[in-house]
Amino acid sequence: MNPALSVIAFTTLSGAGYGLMIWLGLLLPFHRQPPLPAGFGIWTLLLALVLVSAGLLASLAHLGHPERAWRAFSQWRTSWLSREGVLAVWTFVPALLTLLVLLGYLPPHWLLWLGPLLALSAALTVLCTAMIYASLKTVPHWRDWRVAPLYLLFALATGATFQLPVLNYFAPEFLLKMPTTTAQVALFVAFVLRYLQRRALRDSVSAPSLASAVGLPEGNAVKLFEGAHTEDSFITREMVFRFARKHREPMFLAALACGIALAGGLLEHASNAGPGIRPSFLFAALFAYAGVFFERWLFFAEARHVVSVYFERPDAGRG
Amino acid sequence: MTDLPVRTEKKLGLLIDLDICVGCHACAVACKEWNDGGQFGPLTDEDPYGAEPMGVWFNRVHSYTVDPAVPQESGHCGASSPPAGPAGRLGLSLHFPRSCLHCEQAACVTVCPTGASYKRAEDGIVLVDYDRCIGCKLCSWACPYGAREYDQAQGVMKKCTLCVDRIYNESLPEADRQPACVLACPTGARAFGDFADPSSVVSTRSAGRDPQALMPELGYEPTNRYLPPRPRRDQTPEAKADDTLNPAELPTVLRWLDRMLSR
Repeated sequence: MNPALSVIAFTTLSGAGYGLMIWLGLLLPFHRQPPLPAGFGIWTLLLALVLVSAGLLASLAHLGHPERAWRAFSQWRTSWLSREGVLAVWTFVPALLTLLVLLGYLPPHWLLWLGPLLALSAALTVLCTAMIYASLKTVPHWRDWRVAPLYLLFALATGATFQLPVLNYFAPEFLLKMPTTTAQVALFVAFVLRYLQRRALRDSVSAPSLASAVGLPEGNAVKLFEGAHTEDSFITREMVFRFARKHREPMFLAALACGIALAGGLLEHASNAGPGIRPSFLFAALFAYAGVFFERWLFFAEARHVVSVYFERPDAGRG
Repeated sequence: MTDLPVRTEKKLGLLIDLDICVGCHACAVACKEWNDGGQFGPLTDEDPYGAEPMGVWFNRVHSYTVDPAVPQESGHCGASSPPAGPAGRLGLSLHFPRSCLHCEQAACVTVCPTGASYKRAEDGIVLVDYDRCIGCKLCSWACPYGAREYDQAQGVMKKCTLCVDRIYNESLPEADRQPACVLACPTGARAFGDFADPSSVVSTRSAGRDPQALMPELGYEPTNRYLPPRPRRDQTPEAKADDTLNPAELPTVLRWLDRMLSR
């Protein structure tokens, strides 16, 4: 699949934003000691809202008619894309109410139910995003039980990393050992599960053969003799994308280097350096995001759509 | 609207005989011509005279070679006697027109977030309402057959309409109320009709021929069916061995005549 920048930006930015909302929704009502600085909640929530909005706006750039995007809320009975849209808009309700509580316009004890509601809404939105892809039988790499948990894990990992620079800015006196370790563990678990998934998929993904695709019984060796067109078509540009299958391993190594080694190392450095403003937290967040961005690029680029079987040259690797 | 109809009264579709198709692309060109104008046009071309011309087509013809690896019990395009080995086995060329199959379990319809994609309950035709389509391209991702193409100029997804503006057009002579690809096919490899009706041309023409659905294992239950090539006449060396005449024993004139007539 051809990885569109708009779709990668949509899933990674909104994922990070919803990840922040999940952590905040669980942290704000139940965190007691040491007390969280007021600015932390407000600015983290604003950051989450900006990330989510930027992601959703990026997704509009993928559309041929963004001005009709409102129509996409109507088909929630069958379409995961529609469900994602409905939940994305709904999540703004608990998010904005939480912001009003933090700003003091609503009673603080509302957080006891608003927080979990915010976390749940954000998590469900991320799962719906994942299901847009995981529900497609046409892309065997995506129709995998690990895709939905992975989307959630990457959202939690980026969210956990993104809140650290804000926390560090508002409370430089804190020693951030606990939340730093949480972010490191989340990044590690997400990327390791992704590594294991790629390894498992390499052996297990099977797609229909060309014989089955042209209506012949299995056993017939069918080979492309002449393509249907001499130049590219929409289908070959969008669905028969081969670049990543050639360069997938260096790309995944780059994702691991950014997401685990650099982000994890910078987090370690920042949390060991003691109290004070630590720019390493900010750089760790940027590297974690870069790692997830590369990973998401591969998620699209590496996936093989079954329609590509019609276009395969006999000498081309099936990858 | 993106719910699929529980059942459709008719199952209009195409029957494509792969034994007859010669890969001339007339169906693809006629389709482009008809659908470029009228109700569903234009089928926009990008950079039509430039270095990388690209455009929207509903119908594409691929050509393949088939090497029957093992004799098939069902007789599809396999040798009818055991093959003589790679050198003696006869491969065949297969011309394969690919277009929308108007699936009964059309995922392109159910994934559509706006309801622009729909399957008609009355005849099973899958269509796109261009005025509702937001151009998210998800339907093209959901289709295993590559039937949907994006029109860059109009920002909407397009697909084969089964020439719905021809087949119900009462201003046309009745014989012309068929999809443009069917009318254009010079070899008669295509037929149009109602697969739910056992007396329709698509049903009678498939009798005894084992019509195939494409990628049936994916479960989209396509309406269109393809007739696989009939078994070839056996042309392996063994098959020719029953010819007991040895030309070398003939007089010169007859040997010459035999050679001429054997061509």
